[in-house]
Amino acid sequence: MFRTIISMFRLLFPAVPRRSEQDRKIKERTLVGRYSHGSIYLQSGKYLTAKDAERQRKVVATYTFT
Amino acid sequence: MVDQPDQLLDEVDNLFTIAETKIKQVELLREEIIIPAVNQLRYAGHHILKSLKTAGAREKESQLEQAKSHCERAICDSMEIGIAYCLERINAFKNDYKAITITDVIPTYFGILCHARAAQELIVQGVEANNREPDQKRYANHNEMSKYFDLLRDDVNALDVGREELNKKVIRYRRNLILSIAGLTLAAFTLAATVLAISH
Repeated sequence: MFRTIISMFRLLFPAVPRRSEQDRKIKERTLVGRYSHGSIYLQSGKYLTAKDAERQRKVVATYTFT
Repeated sequence: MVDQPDQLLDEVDNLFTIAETKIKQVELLREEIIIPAVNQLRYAGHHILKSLKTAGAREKESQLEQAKSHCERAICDSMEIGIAYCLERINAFKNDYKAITITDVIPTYFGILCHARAAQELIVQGVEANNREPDQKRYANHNEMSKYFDLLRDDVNALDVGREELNKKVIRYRRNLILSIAGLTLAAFTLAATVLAISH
């Protein structure tokens, strides 16, 4: 009975989906920008991590220049 | 034996300066900080400091060797990232103007594609080497990477300069295409009307 009520409640009020990777990145960059000093790029959250670089290398490897 | 650390220090000094310049170039080009390359320079600085603090010649040499390899890695990382950015720009250019002929506006276009291919090959080799042996030293080819980065940077500039003229060509191409379609449609309607008129 209780389970049915819960499932109906969930059906009526679905849970808010978890934040996407993109949202997490935006938040991370905003935080870095808030706490960094000196570099204007860091202050505006413009930086490239090793993970980003690796992903970009893989994408670039798929291009065809003909 | 005494001269060797001094010679190494000169090499490290030279590589450090190159790495700094290259990192700055890529940073200005991409308008973002290249964290992996900057980190490599930090490690290099750490080893240089350690070499200055140690008294033993052998230890000094070992620290300077490590600093040298971090500088080489900083150059390689920044160059790889710079090359990847240039390849992205060239690929975007290729997609933007795939409907029209480019060589009459940019005569060096085929050469640019050849540079892009060779640079891509370098990056692919790096990715493959990294997948095979993640810790292996693959930073000796920093000179070649720098050479390709300089080439591609000039190529991207040339492509950007050509965009305005190519945009005019795209507009002309679109106008001609619309006129052709409109003409064909009109002709088809006229034909249909004529056929209908004759049959009645």
